[in-house]
Amino acid sequence: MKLFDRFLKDRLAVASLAVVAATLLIGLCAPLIAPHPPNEVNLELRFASASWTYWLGNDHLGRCILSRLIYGIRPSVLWVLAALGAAAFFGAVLGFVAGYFRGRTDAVLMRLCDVMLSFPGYVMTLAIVGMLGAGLTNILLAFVVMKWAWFARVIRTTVMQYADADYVNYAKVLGIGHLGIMKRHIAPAALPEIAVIASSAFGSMILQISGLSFLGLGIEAPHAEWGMMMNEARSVMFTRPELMFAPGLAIIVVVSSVNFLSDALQKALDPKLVLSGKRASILNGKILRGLRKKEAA
Amino acid sequence: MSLLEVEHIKIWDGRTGNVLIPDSSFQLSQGECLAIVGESGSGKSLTCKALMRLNRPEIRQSGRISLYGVDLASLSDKEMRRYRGRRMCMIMQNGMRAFDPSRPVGAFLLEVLSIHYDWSRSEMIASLSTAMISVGLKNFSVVMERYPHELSGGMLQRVMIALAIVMEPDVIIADEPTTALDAVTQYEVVEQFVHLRGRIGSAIVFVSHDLEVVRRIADDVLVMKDGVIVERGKTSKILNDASHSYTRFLVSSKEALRRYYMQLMEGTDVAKG
Repeated sequence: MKLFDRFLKDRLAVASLAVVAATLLIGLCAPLIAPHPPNEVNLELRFASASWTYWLGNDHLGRCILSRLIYGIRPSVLWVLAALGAAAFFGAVLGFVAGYFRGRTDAVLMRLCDVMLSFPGYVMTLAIVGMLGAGLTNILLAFVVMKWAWFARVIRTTVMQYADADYVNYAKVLGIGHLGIMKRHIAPAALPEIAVIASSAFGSMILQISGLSFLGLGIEAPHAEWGMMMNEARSVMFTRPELMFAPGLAIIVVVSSVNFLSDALQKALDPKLVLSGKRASILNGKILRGLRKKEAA
Repeated sequence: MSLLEVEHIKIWDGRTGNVLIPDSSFQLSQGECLAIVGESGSGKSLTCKALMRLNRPEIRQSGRISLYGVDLASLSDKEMRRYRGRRMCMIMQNGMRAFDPSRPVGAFLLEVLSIHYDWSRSEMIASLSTAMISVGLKNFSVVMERYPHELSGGMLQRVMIALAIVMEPDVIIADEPTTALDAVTQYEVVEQFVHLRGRIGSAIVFVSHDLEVVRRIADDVLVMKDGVIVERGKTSKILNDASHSYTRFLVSSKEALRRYYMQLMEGTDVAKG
């Protein structure tokens, strides 16, 4: 696997892959790793500083911050990943159909995408949350509703490139069916590119869900979520800034790793894409700046 | 009755309304080899693609293309798929681009065969290996495991011919199969085509602009210019004594080129060069 070799040579890529993988693993095994139950209230330990039993100290209800941080991975990263998977899946199916069959199917699907894409993302998410009520499920739902059109659009373009290739024509000529061609001849070629665009969307989605939770639109109160932890620490921002740093740093580290990862993936995939790689890193910078701003808020 | 009949086929661009091929008709009888010659852009490839229903949806076509009297346009996609491969097989111009770059050649060949035949894996491999050996691909198992980029264009071209031998189609359409090859490989591939004609009784539509190759392989020649068939006849007659001025021009320009080449090579040792 040439792609994999090239990828492994990039140290930053390996490091960010390690961070992302570790985050996912810790999130999955949260009950085994977290030292305390995340919702265990202990008012005697209100705003206690770091100690050997509570490594990162306790919050305004005396809950263990480290445990909450670990449990927070689940909504902040894992559920976002699931939403991303769903959106990418729908987008890929429609994008494949549109890009492969072209003609009328393509026109109809793309106009539908145009309609979806003409709504500003945040406003649409707020509208959906406003209609269905706050809560993680609704936000994730809003993500899927908002993102599939974008995926469909990008994947369609990728598929179109390959649908015109001589080898696809040859496969057609030999009587292989549409589904077989899409599955075995276009998908393997298009998959790396889909991985790149999906991973670049992942970072921004993590930020969005933390942002919405920060505003109190995300997950409901007792459950841990990074954005909400920052919101809870807001009142003691100047006396106990470390309460805000913990989830803030977690978001920064995970989001930058995801962005570096998608950048590296793109570079490993195709030297031709160096130009768009540049664009991705500009975007990356913007996201980081935005994040710092939010943390300061 | 002819094997393949093309009657008054018209091809145009559905968006701009440009007529690409105004009105073409030709027939092909069993075991015949028909060469279509003409300069680039004269509509040779377009005609071939129309036969296979391979043109993009925005390229429209009318007229009747029938194989054994069955109108191909009336077939559904699913029925057409059964015709493709088994009844009509195509050999592409560039072997390097005709195979899925992400899979070994063998996996692709087995997939194709498993669609058309319900043979066991060993049967498929046996018939493929016989065909490959007959087209001069000696180490069959190595070829099967390789990815397309690890093989040469000529080898891939021969793999396509081998696949055609296994499928035994009624019609083989070869769209400039020798254009992307160097002279030596070209010669080998043409020889394979000549053998192919001897082995299976398929009719061949051979698109080329190389008149030497056409002379070697074709029974009949069809000359196209700007989408119009300007002349049709026996190969020897067309190449030696054409009636249409364009054909004479094609032949003479090739002749002139050859004469110039001979002149250049005169006195030098060709084998060394």
